[in-house]
Amino acid sequence: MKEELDVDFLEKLERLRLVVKKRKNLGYLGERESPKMGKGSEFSDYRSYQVGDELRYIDWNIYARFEKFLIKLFEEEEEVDIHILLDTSSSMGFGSPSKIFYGKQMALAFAYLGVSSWEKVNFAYFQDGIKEIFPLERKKGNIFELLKLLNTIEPDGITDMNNAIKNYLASLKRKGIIIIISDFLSPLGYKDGILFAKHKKFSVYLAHVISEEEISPGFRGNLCLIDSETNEKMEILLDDYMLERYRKTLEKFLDDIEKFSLSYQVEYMRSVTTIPVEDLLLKYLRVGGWVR
Amino acid sequence: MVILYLIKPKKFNLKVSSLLIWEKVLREEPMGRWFKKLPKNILLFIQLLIVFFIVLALSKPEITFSGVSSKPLVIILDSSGSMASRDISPSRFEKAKLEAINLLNESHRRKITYVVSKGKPSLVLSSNSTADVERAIKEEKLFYGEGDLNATVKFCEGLYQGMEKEIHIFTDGSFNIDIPQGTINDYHIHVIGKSKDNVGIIDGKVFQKNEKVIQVFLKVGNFSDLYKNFPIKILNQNKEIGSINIELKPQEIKSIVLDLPAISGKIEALLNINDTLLEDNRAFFYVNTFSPKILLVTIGNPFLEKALRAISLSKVDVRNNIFEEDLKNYDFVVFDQLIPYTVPSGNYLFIGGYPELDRTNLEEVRDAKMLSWEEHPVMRFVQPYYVKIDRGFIFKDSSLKPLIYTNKGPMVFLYEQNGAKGLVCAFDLYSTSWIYYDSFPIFMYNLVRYYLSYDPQKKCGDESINAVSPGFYEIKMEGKDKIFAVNIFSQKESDIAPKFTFENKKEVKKETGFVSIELSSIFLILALLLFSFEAIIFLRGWLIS
Repeated sequence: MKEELDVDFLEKLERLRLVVKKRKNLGYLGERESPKMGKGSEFSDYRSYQVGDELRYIDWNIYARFEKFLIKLFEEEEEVDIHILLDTSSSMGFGSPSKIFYGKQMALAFAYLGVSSWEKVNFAYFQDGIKEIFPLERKKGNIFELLKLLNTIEPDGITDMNNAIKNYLASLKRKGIIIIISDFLSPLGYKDGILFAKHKKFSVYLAHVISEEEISPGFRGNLCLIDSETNEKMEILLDDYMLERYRKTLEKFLDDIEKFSLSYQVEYMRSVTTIPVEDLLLKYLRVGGWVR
Repeated sequence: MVILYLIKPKKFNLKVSSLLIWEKVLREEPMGRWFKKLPKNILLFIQLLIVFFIVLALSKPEITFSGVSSKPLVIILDSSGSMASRDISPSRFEKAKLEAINLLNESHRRKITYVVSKGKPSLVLSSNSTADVERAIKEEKLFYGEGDLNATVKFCEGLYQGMEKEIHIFTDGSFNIDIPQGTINDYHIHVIGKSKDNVGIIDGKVFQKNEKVIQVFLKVGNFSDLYKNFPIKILNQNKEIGSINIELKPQEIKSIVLDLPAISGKIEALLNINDTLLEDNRAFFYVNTFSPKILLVTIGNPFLEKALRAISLSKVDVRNNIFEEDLKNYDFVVFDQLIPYTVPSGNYLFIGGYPELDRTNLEEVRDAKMLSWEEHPVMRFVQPYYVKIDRGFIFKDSSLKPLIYTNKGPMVFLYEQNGAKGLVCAFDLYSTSWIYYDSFPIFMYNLVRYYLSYDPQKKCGDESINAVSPGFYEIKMEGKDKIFAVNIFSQKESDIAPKFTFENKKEVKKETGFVSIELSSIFLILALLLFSFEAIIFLRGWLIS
């Protein structure tokens, strides 16, 4: 049965807004001590007056009450570009529902949230390189164009995340947010690409899509496994022992991504395709602080 | 094998998103796991066993119980000169070959070794194929030299170490065979030929008596039981130059000497008699004319020049430089003090130095006296005791071999470098009194003679010229055509009467039956049984799941 996206669930996202809008692009700990005094109107915090601070930011009411000079800090409201990168390689075609369908839904949701928040959104999909870039700008109407585009994308080709991310970011001059939706089954790795994004001062969000079949393979016996991307073959006698080893290796693989994300301050979220995207966005991502 | 392939358990092809994780699983898989998997794959084991049995069946194994015919067969073919006798048609040798082939065809042996007895044993072939051995026997050519069957028997004793062999010797029995004491092998001796009617030349030589006369020496033997009277003709270049009648009693050996006018070239002695071995009725000689072309490179040394010109029939050219001369046009070159840096291959005497001499590696000596010398043809009739050398050198070069020693060290050396050979004198001839002694021209004569002459007389079997049968051989050696005269000259071969005493012969066992079990069919049946067993397992679905 062909999986097609519809617009129904977009309505459910109407009230969500990407938290990123309100978060600063703070890359490093050193900068955290002295947040920029924003030009926006939203109050953030107080700090003691220091020589050289502008007098107009002194909270005179506080001074009146406590006789202390405190400076009011405001969060700067920045305009950020949101880049959504969807992995459409052959490996994404697996699962029920398929990982690619799930990824498409996520990409559509993030794009919708971005446009709704009046952000400049760009969508791109990749395999071993970037295949197509679709700029949504700030037009909500483009969401429907994106929906049409997503419905035409079929899983194909091999994955090379490093190359795809580097190629995509190479031409960008403004920093922003990059959301990468993938199964991370990239034989040549993914870390270099993500580190490159961090180097370019991008806030990186990783949405890891995994299918139930990958977590617990439902097959046994003398098998010849064929790689969907490379058609490479591997003969294996799959029994309980091997399945146990597979589970451990997968766990190690997932842990590795998590540890990597943590150490480089990359937002990471993993979802099994059996969890409805709506639930993911409305429950899990809200709890995780991705949206509010 | 196709069937085996067909019943091979089919692997279920399954497409997965990526092999990335699976590869990691296998990479981290401990080796012991592979062994754990093995017992489960019984089909694999059965298939391996089937292949093993098929390979065994194809290698045709057999168990043979002790019996004469199970022993390796060794055929020794006597290929000495006497085997050329024609008392049996077409000859003893051909008859021996025929009998050996007949034996091969009757025995059906697996291990056969074919050895030819020549001057020394020659293992021609060791094979399991009767056809190959038969072909090798058919292609065998007679060796006219002196055979040594006892050496061949000794050699064959060492074949198939520790195994009992059946050794068949095909010979005319012209000399005794010593069967080793305590041998474990069975010897079968096939004597071919019975006649002893032969007269032959068993030795010969041509000497230069003086400038006008040559002497032909011949040793002729009558090995038959009859009186023989026949003429001996001497031919030079196929023209008769002399003849003599000779009478020989039974079993008599007589030496004759013929004086003939001095001649050179090919000389042939021919016994005009019809007997069973014709090859020893002719003797071949070659008289080489010694007329060397000598070049003397010197600024002037009349003593040396005179000594060279004194060599009979020599042609001496004297030069004081060698730039325009082609050294290869001369048989011998003497460099007196004028030593070139390099020389082509040839024969030389270097006086006062030698090519590529390292001048830092010599020591000047004065007032030396010759004391001793090596045994060498060049020193024949030369005794230069206490010859004084006022000034000379000691060459510290290990590549030079000392010839004459003085009280200060060796001062005449044998030289051999890159095809150039000869002598090196480490002193100037004017610095020595040697040139005034008689020994000096004799030394020069010996030197030229030694390096330019060769012995043209050879015997059959001589490996240096590959002489296989009697006659004249023209061979290019060291860039020059040389003629050699090859003869049998063997009393042992000319005396063709069988002397083999059967007392030496080991008792020949009769061929007894033997039990040989062919195992190929057993292994094939086993393979078939396993195949059926595998088919049952496969069809019943007792596969690993």
